[in-house]
Amino acid sequence: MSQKSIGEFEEIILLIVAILNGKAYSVNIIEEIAERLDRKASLGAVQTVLKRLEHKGLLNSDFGDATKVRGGKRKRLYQITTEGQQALAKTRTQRNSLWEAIPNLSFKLI
Amino acid sequence: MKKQEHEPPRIAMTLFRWFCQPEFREEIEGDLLERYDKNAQQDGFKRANRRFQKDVILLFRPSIVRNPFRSQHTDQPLGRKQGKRFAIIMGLTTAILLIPLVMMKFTKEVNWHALDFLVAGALLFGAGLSIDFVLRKISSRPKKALLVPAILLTLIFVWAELAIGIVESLIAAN
Repeated sequence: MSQKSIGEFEEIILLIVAILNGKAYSVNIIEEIAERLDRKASLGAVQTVLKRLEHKGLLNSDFGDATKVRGGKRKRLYQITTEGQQALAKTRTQRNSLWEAIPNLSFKLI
Repeated sequence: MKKQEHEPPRIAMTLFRWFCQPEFREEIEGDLLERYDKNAQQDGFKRANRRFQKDVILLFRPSIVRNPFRSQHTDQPLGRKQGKRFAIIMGLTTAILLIPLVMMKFTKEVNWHALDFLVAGALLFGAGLSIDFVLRKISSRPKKALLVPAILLTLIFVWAELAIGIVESLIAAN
């Protein structure tokens, strides 16, 4: 089990990278976040988190193709690592256990 | 002429190229251009320009910004000469700041707080860097002879203003 903890935004980025399955790069990650979560994310925030996750070993990356729209600059494509998958699974288990620990009464009162 | 209108703001792009770490520059510049193109198609060039500028500003983060102590062009550590100049400015600033620190041990008339040392340090260091910049970048001797005293006078004026408020004293005297 991975000992690396992840924050909320890191978890979102990891999940989006997993969804995009090898085609994830910052621009389409921002678009996915906007589309799926109705949330705005800046390029700076996404790039920072991608670099941090790569540094933690939860993501790895490689250069993709250069296109005309990108001014001939290559995009960096990200993929989730085994450690990244373990970190996501751990977070999910922790959240589920917290949800299960909520007494039914506390939700009836709201 | 039309082609120029369709280019992202030059100043923002230059700023980005200046502060971004060289190893991230290619991918992030590509991302910026791709987003600019999409925004221009969706909302027009005016909005695309504004968003581009915002993107660049929001990229100014510690993980993206290059190390200021490394050369901009080669990303190599600053040369010996530059390092030496930097050390001299730091050394002089520290030496000047040591004077009030030592005097505080002997007299109660000198009573500086941490913020005073911080402000004075920033002033001295800023003045030192400015003088260094003038000496290195300006080739004309008359200009140097004008700018260096101007920096020193500004430093003295700001220092005196912060210490005793000379502008207030002059107003009160009149």
